[in-house]
Amino acid sequence: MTENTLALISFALTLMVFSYLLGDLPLIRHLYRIAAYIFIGMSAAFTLIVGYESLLLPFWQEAQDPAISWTALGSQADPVIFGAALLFAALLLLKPVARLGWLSNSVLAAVVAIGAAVGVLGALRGTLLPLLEATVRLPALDADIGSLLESLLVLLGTLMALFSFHYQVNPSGGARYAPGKVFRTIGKALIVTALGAIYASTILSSLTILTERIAFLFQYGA
Amino acid sequence: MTDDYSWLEEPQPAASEPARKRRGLRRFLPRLRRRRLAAQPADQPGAAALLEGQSERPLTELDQRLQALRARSLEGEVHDERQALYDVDQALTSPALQEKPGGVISAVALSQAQQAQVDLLTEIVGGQSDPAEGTAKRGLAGRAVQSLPNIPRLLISALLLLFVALPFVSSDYAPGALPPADFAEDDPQAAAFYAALDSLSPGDYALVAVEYGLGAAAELDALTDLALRHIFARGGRAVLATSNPIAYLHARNLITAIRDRAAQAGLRLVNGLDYLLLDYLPGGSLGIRELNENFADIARRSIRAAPISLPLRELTDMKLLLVVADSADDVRNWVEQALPDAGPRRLYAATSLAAEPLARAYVEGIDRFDGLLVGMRAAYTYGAMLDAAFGITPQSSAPNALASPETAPAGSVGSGASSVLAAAPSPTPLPTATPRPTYTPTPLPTNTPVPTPAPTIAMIRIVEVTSPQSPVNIRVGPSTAQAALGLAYTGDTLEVLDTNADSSWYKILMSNGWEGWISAIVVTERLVPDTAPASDESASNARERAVMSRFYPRRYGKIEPRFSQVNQVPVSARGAIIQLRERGGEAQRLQAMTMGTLAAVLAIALGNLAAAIGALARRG
Repeated sequence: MTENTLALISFALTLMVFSYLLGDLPLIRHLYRIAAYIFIGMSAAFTLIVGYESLLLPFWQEAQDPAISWTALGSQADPVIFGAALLFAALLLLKPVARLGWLSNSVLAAVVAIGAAVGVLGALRGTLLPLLEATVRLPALDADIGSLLESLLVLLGTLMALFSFHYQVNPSGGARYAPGKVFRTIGKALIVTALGAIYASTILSSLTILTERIAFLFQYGA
Repeated sequence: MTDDYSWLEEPQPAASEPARKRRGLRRFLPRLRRRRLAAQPADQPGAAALLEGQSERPLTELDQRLQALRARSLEGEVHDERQALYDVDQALTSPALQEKPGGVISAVALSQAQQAQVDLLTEIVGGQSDPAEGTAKRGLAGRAVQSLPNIPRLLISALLLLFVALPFVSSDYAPGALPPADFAEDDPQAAAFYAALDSLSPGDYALVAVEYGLGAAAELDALTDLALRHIFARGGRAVLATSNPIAYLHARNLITAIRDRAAQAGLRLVNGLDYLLLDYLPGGSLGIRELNENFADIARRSIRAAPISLPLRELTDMKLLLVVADSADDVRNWVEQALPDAGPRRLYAATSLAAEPLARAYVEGIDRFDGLLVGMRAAYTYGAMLDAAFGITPQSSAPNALASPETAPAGSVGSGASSVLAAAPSPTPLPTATPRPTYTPTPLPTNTPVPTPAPTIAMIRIVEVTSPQSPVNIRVGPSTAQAALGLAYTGDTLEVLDTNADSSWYKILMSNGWEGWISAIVVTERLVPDTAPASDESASNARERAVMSRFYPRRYGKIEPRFSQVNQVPVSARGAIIQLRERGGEAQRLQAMTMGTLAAVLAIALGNLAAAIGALARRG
């Protein structure tokens, strides 16, 4: 397929997506949805192809080769571990069988547990400890006034944002402290500001994509 | 309140109830226990009693609007629920109820009082009691279908599109200044990013994690492309990895495009030598952990052939880690799973604008994080800095200023390839004012004599596998009846030794020194300069070949590195990789973003103004 043909297809799909701007009208709505379905379907197909090409096919080709030793298959794991992996993979196929589904559930539980363990370990080593260290690190005494103010602002902002979340009912039914209310209000304002910044960044990111499509339309529509 | 929750326990079977026996294979299955709530004993508190025991929330805890509503009710202002709940019909729109003859609705008989309540509720929520009055109707699937365009959406969209399109139509609509030509002016983190890649030495490895899908490609493609070209231009080697299958295909397309463009300048980028696209890493963070633990295995598998000169054993072999991601979570995954075990290596990131707030806040707390690039503005400055560093004068700012391969001026194979390499020993920057002779992809007839090579550089014949059906077989003899000796994949290049009588088969040299035959149907022949002698192979490479030949004996039809080592070419010649990139439209796109932002702010302001005026009008 030539580049021009691909460009024409892209051109048509872009216009189909933009047809969403006209609203949920009969016929028009189908153009947008067809483009969306193609996008989703192609993504799913690509995922399948990549999984097949990158994982299954090389593994199968190597397994077919008698000259390759067991230890060269997939990893340097010994045959016991490799056999266990094969067994677990086979057990996963039992999921549709209602009475034997617990076998595949057990394998899935192991996968989830290992994933959680890896995630927790990585979070501890890679995120929590470094961030904790960075958070509790006091600014140097000889730091400039700007750094000190920034550290103070981060500390107070974090505390106030945390303070704005309260889950306890006042048993007496009376009003809360006025200072607490002020802190909560400031905390809420900080949270709203942060969410607003994230939302604005998302809009800017979307605008980047829009400009790319507009540039494409001008380029090939001319 | 008592802590005795025994009434929630599973009831014990009565003594007289016999245990049900299982037969056959079922007796090996676990006996699943069904948890049932027992009847609540009379002396235990019920759910209603538990709720009653809770303290009511004080009025001050209510939302201010609800407090105001209650106050108005107590003051007697509100005599009608419709007055109390003004604006509700704007906020809530309900689909019209369609009554079908003989349907359920018609079968329901409401009393007069009930009908009044229904009418009141329908009026409050802005529903249509009579479907004939509304413009909505129902489609086959039961969903509401419009019959007219959504006018407000159309107007806002038209406004946005108009503003965004203006910079592409005329340069008069160019608000704001373009980004600076150097990161050092206002972005120290971006400057650190550039400096890190610029400090790569020939042969250094940089891990590039591509973690974005098609949706973010418009924003992050440019950054990935520039980073890869920067690595290659400094003689470095890029190892691309991803835990996203869509990103894997995207990375493959990007690196293929760079490789093809570099080939126009006679610079051969070879998978497994100058770059390495690792296989897709399944399992998200698990896949990244697997890469961390078994880097050498994954690298070997990914090459699909004997690794020739990749001394990659561990993640610590990387000089730096670079993550290009469209979400902060992807950056976090790499930081958590790869960085702690990457030795003293440092992390650099490039993200989309949407991911920046969280990603920046996250990585700035990481000690070994150094640099961050964000979005298209950074790409603009990055490209300008690379152009300046490699002495390249930007060409026309019009889109597609650089000719595509199809429209490039045709030049002979020998002259196109040798022009860059012949200039390689010269330290002067590449000339850019004149069009560059480029490679013409027309296959050479195999029965014609090989053109005389340039006097300074010896030319050799190679074939490149161009068949879309990859892999293809390399056989012992020039026939499909001969045994297969190895495999070659699309894009692989092999040195030609000879052809058969009718030139339908090429005799090629495989990277392990074996000779094999490959069909002319699946390859394209070309000439390339032989820039490195065959004796360059190091002892370690030879040893690795010998080791790998035991494991991958059928996969040697892959790589011939003798003429493709980019880092054997001087930096000035490698600058062609920087020059041969798509240019054009960056300034217009940045200006369109500014205009789009203005349009969005305008639309939001006008919308709020209209809503406020409408609310005041209703109150009045």
